[in-house]
Amino acid sequence: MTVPTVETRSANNCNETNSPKRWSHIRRVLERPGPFSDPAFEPSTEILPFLESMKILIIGAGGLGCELLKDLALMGFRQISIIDMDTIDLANLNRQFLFKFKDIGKPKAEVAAKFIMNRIPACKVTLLTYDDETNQVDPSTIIPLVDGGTEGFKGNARVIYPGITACIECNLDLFPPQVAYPMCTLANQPRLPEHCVEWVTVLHWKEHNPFGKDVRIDGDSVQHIQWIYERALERAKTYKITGITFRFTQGVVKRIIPAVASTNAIVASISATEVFKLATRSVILMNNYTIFNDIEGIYTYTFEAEKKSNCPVCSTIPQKIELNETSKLQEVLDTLIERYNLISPGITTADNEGQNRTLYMISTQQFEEITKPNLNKTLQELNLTDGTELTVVDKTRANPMRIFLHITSSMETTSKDLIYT
Amino acid sequence: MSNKTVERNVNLKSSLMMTFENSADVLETNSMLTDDEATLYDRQIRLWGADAQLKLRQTRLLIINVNSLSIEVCKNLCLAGVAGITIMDNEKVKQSDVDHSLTLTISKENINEYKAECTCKMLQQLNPRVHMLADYQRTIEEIDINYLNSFDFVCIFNHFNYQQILYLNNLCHQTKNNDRHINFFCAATFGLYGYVFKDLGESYDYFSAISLGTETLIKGEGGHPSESQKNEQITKKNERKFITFEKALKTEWRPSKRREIYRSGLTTYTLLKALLAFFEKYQRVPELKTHDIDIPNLLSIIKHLDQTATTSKDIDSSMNDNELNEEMLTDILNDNNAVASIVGGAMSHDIVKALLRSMITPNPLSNTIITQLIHQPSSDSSTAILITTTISALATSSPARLCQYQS
Repeated sequence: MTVPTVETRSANNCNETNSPKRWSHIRRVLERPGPFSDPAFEPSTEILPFLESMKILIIGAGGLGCELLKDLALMGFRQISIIDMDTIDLANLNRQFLFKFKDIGKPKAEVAAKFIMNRIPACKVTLLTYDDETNQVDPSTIIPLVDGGTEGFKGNARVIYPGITACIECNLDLFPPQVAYPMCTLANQPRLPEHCVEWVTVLHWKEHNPFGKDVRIDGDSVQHIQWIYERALERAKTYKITGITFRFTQGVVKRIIPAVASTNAIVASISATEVFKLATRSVILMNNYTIFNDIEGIYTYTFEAEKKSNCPVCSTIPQKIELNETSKLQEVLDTLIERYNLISPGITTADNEGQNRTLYMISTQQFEEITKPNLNKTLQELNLTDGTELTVVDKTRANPMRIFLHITSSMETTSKDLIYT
Repeated sequence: MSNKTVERNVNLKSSLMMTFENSADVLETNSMLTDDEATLYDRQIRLWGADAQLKLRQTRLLIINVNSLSIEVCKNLCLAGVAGITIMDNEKVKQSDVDHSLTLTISKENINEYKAECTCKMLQQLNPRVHMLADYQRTIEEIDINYLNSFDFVCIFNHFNYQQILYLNNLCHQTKNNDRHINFFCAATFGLYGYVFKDLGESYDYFSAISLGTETLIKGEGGHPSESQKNEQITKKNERKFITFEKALKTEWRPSKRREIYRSGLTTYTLLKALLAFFEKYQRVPELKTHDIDIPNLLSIIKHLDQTATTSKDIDSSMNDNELNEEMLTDILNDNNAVASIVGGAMSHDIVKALLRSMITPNPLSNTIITQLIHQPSSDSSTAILITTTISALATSSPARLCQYQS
């Protein structure tokens, strides 16, 4: 699913005012009470300039991003930043309507920004790059997040107020598991066309390296897909499986998700409406998760996704991991990476006097070299006792994590599994 | 594709259809998707199949009235790759249209141009393969069956002249060609409320099981028609009789299992009837600039409607005073671009589904779609409920709740 998200952050200064007639449909919502207003809402002429000064970040300028950009620009937002590392492809043009045929190959964010600024000159759309240092987030402010996703005729949108409502991690188990076929099925008992394709991509490709040693599969390369398609077809014939075509192969390799403009329009509008509400507090917010489906008939459902009290991301309750005193620091690292999807964590701890002690850190090469030997030391050797609190930092987390170590002596535990509490 | 159809396509006077050198080209192009098209429409072909995409490519629509809702539908269908869209509207762009800034297709450079023209120009850029045509001269009265025969879909938006709607709806039933029917759609958004109504004819056939589009329709790809290995496909043919807009509005409501949905649909339904009645009486729609007199008049119309309501006696059909008061009614005069996107999106899906009589999972049973952003603070659930014709409202406190009804 494409998942563009919108962050809003209040700014300190309000920008220029409008001509009194412009944005009349927005003014009507902001300058007078309405039948659906939030009871605490106080209409005023100040709200529109405030809305215009709000900084919005749109992550992704694809199917949902284009629609969202259009919606927000038409709702009066003026300071929009957009980020997308992709370039425009022919297959995008059936729904990413800010792009034209002549734009193929150009960066999505750039073309999208240009289009909107052309049609709505008052709206300023800035491009963000990845190493933009000025966009450091001030952790003391709460930035609400609106998240939307679509797939074919289905979609969802949710509002996340970090610390207050459920965050993405809280409901991570709502996401369906990744489709993974068992190895024995791929190798010996294929039944579906997908099995044949995956057999090629997972097993056959590595054996043959058709385009050179260590050349990995490139989903965008017609030759690669063609090669995979031919081999998959052969295999399918052996097992009397039908349904393999070039397009099908490409879909499996690239994990293509079907997408149309209309579903994106719906989900983006729902998201944009929530952003508007967040910015103006004019109407009660969505609380807090909506799903939409019009495969058969039309169905929508809104519910309150619940916050997990011990969520590793948004709760302040420290996490616990259990280990034996003879376990090595490397094991701690591995557990952290696996359980919390970290990339390259750094671990420090405080000793009894409150002095900070770095156990392992890769922030600089020097640090890495100095602390590397610790990985091989046991927890006992490192003087880490039961109940020690570790502080873990990682590039995937804005804030450090607190981890309590529950250490058992080698008498108590032999091959006890790590328990997640 | 029959020769008759090919001939008809080639003989069309309307410049909607692209002209070809000879009919062989037409046949060739009409039975296969080109490589470019297969790539361009790849993501949607994976959703509804190549079969459906080909049908789309032969579909011509007539869109009446330019407003944010109709523009959204046009955008979605243009991107989807229909044959052609004719936009009919004889108004010019005014300053107030620009001020409202409800759409990207109208900006201040377009003032005094015909709405249909500047909209067509912008939409054309979305997909050069679609033939966009602006008709700013024809009026609704001038439309006759000969003209309508060049379309597969007739859609009228934000129109409250009841007689004209009925006229068009009935005209769609008079098609001279026996093997085809002109589908009629009527939709509107008013404030946060919106509805979509469809009449797909008196004998609409559809298949009620999954049937995959054959991949052989994509040029350059060989292969056999795909048989699904996953499960047995049993297709059962059904027929459904749709009713006209006129009949739909006169049908009695049947109570639903979920009261809140019934009641919320009732609001939109009442608003629609009220707006139609208002137009009949005053020959215009209520407007913001005259809201001082319009709103009280609309309110009295509603009260009158309430007394003569054709709602089931089982449900308390009296209007909740808090719901339809002056404040609420003034609100409906205010347009909202998000609402247009949501209703427009749902309607586009419905148009595509109407085309695909044997597709992924059609459900043409319902003839009206409701869009509603629920006001109740508690979380609510809505499922596709079948009740008599209805319309729904949009409120911005929760995200869209969409329900479906049948008559």
